[in-house]
Order: sequence, then C-alpha cells, then structure tokens
Amino acid sequence: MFLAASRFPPPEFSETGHQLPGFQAPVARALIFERLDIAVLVLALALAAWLAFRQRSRRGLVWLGIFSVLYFGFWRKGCICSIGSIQNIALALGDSSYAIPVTAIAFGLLPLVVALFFGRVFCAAVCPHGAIQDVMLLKPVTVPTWLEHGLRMLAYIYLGLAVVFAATGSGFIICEYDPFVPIFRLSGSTTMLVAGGVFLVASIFIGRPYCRFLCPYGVLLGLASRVSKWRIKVTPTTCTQCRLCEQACPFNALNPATNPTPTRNIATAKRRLVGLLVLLPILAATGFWLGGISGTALARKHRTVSLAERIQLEATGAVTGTTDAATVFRSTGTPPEELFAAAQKVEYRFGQAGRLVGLWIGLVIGLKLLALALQRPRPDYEADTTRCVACARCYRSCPEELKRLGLPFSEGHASAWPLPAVGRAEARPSVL
Amino acid sequence: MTPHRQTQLHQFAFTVAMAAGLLVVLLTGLLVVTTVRGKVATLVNSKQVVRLHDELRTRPKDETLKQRIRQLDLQLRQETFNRLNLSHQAARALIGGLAIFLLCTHWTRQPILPNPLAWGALRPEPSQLALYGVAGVFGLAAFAAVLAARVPVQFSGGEQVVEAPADDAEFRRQWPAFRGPTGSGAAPDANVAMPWRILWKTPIPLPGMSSPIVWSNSVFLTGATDKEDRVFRFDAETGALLWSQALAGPKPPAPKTTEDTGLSAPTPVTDGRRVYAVFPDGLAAAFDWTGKPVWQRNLGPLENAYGYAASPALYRDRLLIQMDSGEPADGQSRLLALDSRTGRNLWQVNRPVAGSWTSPVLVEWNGQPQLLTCATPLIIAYNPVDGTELWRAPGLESDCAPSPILAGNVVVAIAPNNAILGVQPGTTNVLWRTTDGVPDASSPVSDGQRIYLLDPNGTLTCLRQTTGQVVWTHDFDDHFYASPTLVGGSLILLSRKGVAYLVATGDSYRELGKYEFGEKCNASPVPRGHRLLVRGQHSLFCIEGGAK
Repeated sequence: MFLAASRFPPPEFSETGHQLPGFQAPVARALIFERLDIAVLVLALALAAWLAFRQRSRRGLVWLGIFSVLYFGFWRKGCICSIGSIQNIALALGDSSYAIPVTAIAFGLLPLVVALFFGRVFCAAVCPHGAIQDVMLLKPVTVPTWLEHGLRMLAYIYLGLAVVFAATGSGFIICEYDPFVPIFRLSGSTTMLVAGGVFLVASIFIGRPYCRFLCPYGVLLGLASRVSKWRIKVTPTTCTQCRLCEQACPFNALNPATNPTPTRNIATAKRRLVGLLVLLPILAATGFWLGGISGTALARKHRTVSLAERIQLEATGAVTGTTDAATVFRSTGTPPEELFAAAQKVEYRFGQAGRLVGLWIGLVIGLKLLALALQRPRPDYEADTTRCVACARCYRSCPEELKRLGLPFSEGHASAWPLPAVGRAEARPSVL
Repeated sequence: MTPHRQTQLHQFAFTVAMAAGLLVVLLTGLLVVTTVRGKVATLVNSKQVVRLHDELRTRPKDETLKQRIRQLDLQLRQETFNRLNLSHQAARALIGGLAIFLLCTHWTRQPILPNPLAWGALRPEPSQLALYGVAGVFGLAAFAAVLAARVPVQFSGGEQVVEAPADDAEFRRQWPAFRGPTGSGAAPDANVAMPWRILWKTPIPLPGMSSPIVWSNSVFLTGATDKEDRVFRFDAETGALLWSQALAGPKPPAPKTTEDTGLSAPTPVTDGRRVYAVFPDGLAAAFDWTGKPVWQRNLGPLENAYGYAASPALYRDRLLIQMDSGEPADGQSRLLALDSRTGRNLWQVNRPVAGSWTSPVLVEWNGQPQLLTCATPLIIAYNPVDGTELWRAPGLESDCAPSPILAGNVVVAIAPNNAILGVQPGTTNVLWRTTDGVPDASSPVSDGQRIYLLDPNGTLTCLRQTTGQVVWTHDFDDHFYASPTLVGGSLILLSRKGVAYLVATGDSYRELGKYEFGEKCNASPVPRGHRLLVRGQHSLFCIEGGAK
C-alpha cells in the first residue's frame, strides 16, 4: 500500500552516458477480457438473483460477494465498476465526441435492468464495494431513524454533482473520491487510503455506510427497485407479525407493520402535508437559485477553468510559484485571452448545470419530506424496496423460513413463536 | 462433530482471530510509520540534496561535491525502494490478516438472536425528527452553496485583467506622480517664463519632503510628524485646503531617519479616482476624491539608513512600492504591488539589492510597460503587471538616491559619488559611463539631446545624451536636493535656500532668471501650463509665469 506516493526525478546520468529508458504506455486491455468482465457481471447478477429469491441463501450470497471482491475488486482493481460507469454515461451524454466503451454501458445499465425485476441484488453480492463492507460488519449498531433519513439524502446530492462534473468533462469525482478502489489497488493517495480505512472500520459497526449514505449508484438502483417485479420478502409464506425479524436488518431497510388505528392527529397531519406540498416548489426554486449562484464556483473543478484561474492568480501575484500546467500553457504561446474565453464558456455551462443540480436536490428533499409525512398502511413487515440490498440476513430470523428449511428454532424464536392471534398487530403497544 | 470438538474449534478460531486482529493493527501501524517517514525524507524534498545542488551551482566543477551528490542520490533511492517493498509486503500481509480475522470472527461470532423479552415499543414511523434530519441536509447543502458562491472563480477576460485608470491619456497629461507620469521630471509643453508672480500661497499643515502632485484642479501633498501622517488636497485654482485626512489608528513608531529625509519623503500618486500615499512608518493608504479612506495597510516599518524615501508608482490598478533595505545578501529588499482598489497584495518580488532611496519609474519600452528600479548593484526592469523581471544590468555602487530616467534609447542611472551610466534598455550593455558631475540626491532630466544633472553642492552638468560626454558645467553658489525640472525649453532648479533658477537648455549655459521664495525648498517643483507648484518648508506656492 502507499505505493504511488513517491515520484522523483531520474538520476543524473548525463556524464556517464547512461540512456534512460523511454516512457512506456501500458498496452490496452484485450477486447476479450472486456467481454469477459461483462459475462462475469451477467452471471454474477443472475446468480445473485437466484440466491436471493430462489435459494434464499445468505451463505451463497456471502461467497458470491467474496468472489466479487476478489474479481471486480482486487483482480480488476475496482475498474470498471457500475458506480463509476454513471460518469461515463453522463460524459457521453454531455460530450458527443466521447466514445463510451461498451463495458461502461453494460456495467451502468445491466444492474439497473436487473433491479427493475429483482431489486438491488447487484448490491447484495455483485458490487465489490458493498460486499467488502458487508463482510466487515461484525457489531451492527442501529443508526437513529432521523439521522438515517437525513444521511441518505447525501447520496442524491453526490449523484447530482457527479453527473454534472462528468457531463461537463471536469472529472470523475466518484472514482477520484472512491474510498475502496485504493484498497483494491493497494495504492492511492494517503487521503483516500485513510478514507477507505475509516469506511472499513466504520463498516464493523455501521452496516454498509458508503452504500447507504453516499453511493450515487445506489440511488438509481433504489429508484429502479421501487417498481421491481419481484421483491424481497422476509417470510417465505405468510407474515405472522411475530416481530422476530425486527432486529435482523442492520441497514434499517425493514419497514414494520403499521398500526391499523393510528394515533396521529389527523388534522395536524393534514396541515403538515399541505405545508410540505407548498414547500416543495419553494425548495425546488431555492435549489435552482442556489445552484445557479454556486455553479460557477464548481467550475473550478474543470481543468480549463482551474488553469485560467491559476494563470490569472500568477499574473496578479496572488500566488507565488507556478504549476506544471501553467508552465506548459505558457510554453504553447496561446494568448491568455483565449484561455479565459474558453473558461468563461465552461463557467456558463456550470451555471446552467448548477441550476439543474440545485433543482434536483430541492425536488428530492421536498419529495422526501412529503414521503415522510405520508402514512401508508402496511399490514406486514416488509423490506423497503428502495433501501433493501437483498443481503438475505433477515430470512433466517423468520420462523416460517426455519420451518421451511426444517431447522430448529433458536431460544429467541422458541419463546416468541407462534404468537396467539391476539398477539398480532392489534395487541402491539401503540406508538403512533 | 461432537459439541466438545466444536467448542475446541471455536476456541481455536477465536485465538486465531485475535492473533490476526493483532497482526492487522501492527501492520497498519507499520504502514502509517512507513508512509510518514516516506513523506519526510525523499529524494524530492531532501534538504541535503537541495543544499548540495545549490553548492554545485557555485562550484560546478567540484568533482568531490558531485560524488557526494551521487552517493546521496543513490542512498535515497535505495531507501525509497526498500520502503516501497516493505509497504508492498505489509499491505499484502494486512489484507491476508484481515481476511483471516474476518473469517474466524464470523465463524465464532454468536448470531444475533431476537430477544422478545427486550421488546419495547415498536420502532415508530419516521417522525417529525426525521423531517428535521432531511431538512437539515438541505440546510447544509444550501449553506455550502452560499459559501461556494462567495468564492467565485477568479479570472476574467484579458481586457479586464488590469483595470484601466479613469483615463489613460489623462494620466499622461496630468502630473500624477513624483516627477510626472513617467518620472522624467519633464513637461515639454509647459511654459513658465519669468517674470513670476505668486498666484496663491497656502500654509501646509504638516512638514514633509514629498513633492506635490496634480490632477486637474486638485493638488495633493503629504505631511507627517512623529504623531500623525496626513494627506492633503488643495484647490489648484485658489490654494484652499479642501481636506486633510490623517491615516487611521495609532501611528506606528517613527522609524530612524535623518532631518534631510524626514517622515514624509515619498510623494503620493493618483489615478484620478483615488490618491495613494506611503509613509516611512510603513503605513500605506488610499483616499477617494472626497477624502474618504478607501483602504489602509501597515506594510511594517520601512527600515532605511537615512530614512525611507521611495515614492510609489502606479500602473493602472497596481500600486508599486519599492522597499529596499540592508545589503544585497540580506534578502530584505523587495518590490510590492498592491491592488489599488483594495490594498491587498497582488504580487511581491524579492530584490537582490541593497537599501536605496530611489523611486521606481514607469516607462514604456518597445511598446511594453516597464518599471525601472535602481539600487546597488543593479538596474532592474520589471513587468508592472506581474512583477516578472524583464532585464537587469549591473554597475551601480554606493547609496543610490537619484531615480533613473529613460532618455530616448538610454536608461540613465546614477551611482552617487561614483558614476553616471547610460544603459541600453533590455541589455547589460553600458553605452557610456562618466564620472563627471555625479549627483547625490537629485535625479537627472533630459531635453531629448542632453542630460542635466545637479550636484547637491551646486554643480549643474550637461551631458550629451548619446555619448555621455560633458557639454558644459556650471557652478551655483547654492545647495540643491530638489531634482531639476524641464519646463518647455528651460530648466527649473530649486535650491535648498528657496531660490529658483531658470536656465535655458542647450549646448551652453544660459541663466534666464531667478526667483526667491523666502522659504527653504527640498521638494521638486511641478509645472502645470503657465504655472508652477512649489512646496516650501511651510507653504505651498503657486507661481504664474509669463509666456516666452
């Protein structure tokens, strides 16, 4: 690890006549191996769906996850990955001259297509990022619900920013700030290696922190999963509402059954709903405006703008020294005015894109607030279609599943199951 | 498998997990230490290598030194690769250890069982608190957006890089700085033939050696005591004091100075929108036309053996301040550019020169603006936009006080008590050098063919501009600090006693008249049309001359 940190000049051999070897570009990866990656992805997705839905096998998913960590992670060094492929697609949409690789399209779209049918089985055991966090989880703690909902919004913001930066050709920030790729490569900047280490340590206690709170691809998979044809069900038969699965999900992805007689003040709830409906366009407009005023600052990420700014700062003496990029630019003899003109165009594009991102964030937050305010009746314990990563942890907590598998009940199961008929929803303490 | 056997296996796995965990912790520590050490000492940032390379530049043929560099280079490379190898091995072992730790831990870990006895209330539906959590993220995002908006990208179109003054052409028509817009001390279009009469005379509230500057109907002047620094604006028509503004805050301790330099030697400069003043105590300030302070900076004490005297120059939105002190090796001398609108630093360059009393002079050469500076041992020209050094020429010695001028194709620079140099701009080519009539304090002036130099002890020397040959000399029974000023076809020489001599330019000496102000004078006179502004020890005079 920490291998790429040192860069230093070649030795001075001028007096000994030693000829330094020239620079060598790595040979492009053979097409067959790219097709192999796609084939492995397809097989892994199919296997994950089969294991999660048909076999209901947690163990199988764990081994598939380990394979994914080894193949897509350590062997393929985290590239290409579906999370990053969002940026390839965004760049292709924003820059018609960019020839997007077929592999990137496949990795970007296939898990989404599968999610339309089977939910987030990609997250379950195919994504090396998710799998490595999953195996690290040893002592899960429950993240408070209010914090969970808040932190999950970060992924939407991250997605918006990543798309803007990629579409404008500014960079692939998902890859740049990927905390796990440096671990897979055993190399990277110290900052990102430390970030990777922090995420891994956090994963011991917090289930999949990156997947839940930051992963931009998880946002898309979650949206696709909302309409998925088949969904994860804790129980293989009928939910007896024994509540034994309640603590089984370390990702807060299990929605409890709702009380049929809610105690919420209906009038207050209605007022809140109306208020949030009014707030939705306000949030969207505010986001649009804030995105507009801050979008140009984001343009600094673009190399043309950053170079223009550097040239300007050096010209005015606001900074001392120079950079390689500035030196190379000066050596080309290009007038700074040309650079500034090009940078201004990029800045304008960022202003437009910033508004769209702001609008996106405002809408997402507004809709989330509305969703939180709405109370939908839920007779059974259900895996949340958006949040559930199909890890299959909850299966074995269900007595019906144990019964199906012919496994003995644990002490906990035995003491709680079967509940009498009156012990079901009606008998639960009312909290609503 | 028997329960006993299973227990034994679990215990073994637990022990292995603990050992693997310990290994992971140790290897993580090792990697951290290796990384930190790798960042501290590398071939790139080794101070020893840098120092040896610096030495090699001074002794390029020192084979022993070269050998030492090679050995050190080899040693550092070996250390680097050893460290990398160690990191490689440690990283792999860390991954392996982590895998064993996880495997054993998962195997021995007790499954999380449902505990109905601990059941409390059901987890409630997302409540109002969740609304706040989500809204809080929007608040944070909005806050970040506002912060980002406050730090806009700093670049602009080429024409906007440098803000133009109120009127570029007007700047050249006015007398906005020490010795005029180009520091030449020449006003060929002015005419103040004798006889003279005092148009007005106004008391100057505070003493000072700085010269007046003029923009349209406004005359600016500075004055200072050990208690305050002030900038004055007078009405050029009536001499009325329009405003007198003290620099804000407590005045820094007065620097060491001589009586001949005083506490307000630097002449202010204006761009028609604001007036900028620098004082030897290190305070620099800008005032708008109404006297309202725009900004003020404390540049630190401007240490100088005889007192700080360099007047600032102005190039568009850059206020250029030459701050020379100490010896060349001391590294104390620098040239600073402030943003005239805000006073913030735009750039700063170190100058390898000794302390000086010259003022930087803004000239145009080959269509490019250049800031000429003189201090022992170098004449250095800078790009006023970014401080880039354009060229330099050696040859200066002793305490430089007279400012340089660009006379035709020659930069005239003076090394007091030593020589006068005529240097070809952009080169180190000394066109001529003469030791006759070298002034100590006053700066030269040119009529396009001849250079006139005024010695403090009263010797006026005329040199041929192209060759440096002496054309004529004349001795006055008087002493001079003020620089000679060219007004039309005449020179105005202002003596320390307060006598102005009007001398015709030409190949022979011819005195056209003289005028006594009745006050000591050290500042250089300022011609404006048929008028002349003169700062006396106590008064500001406006003289009206007759047409020739």
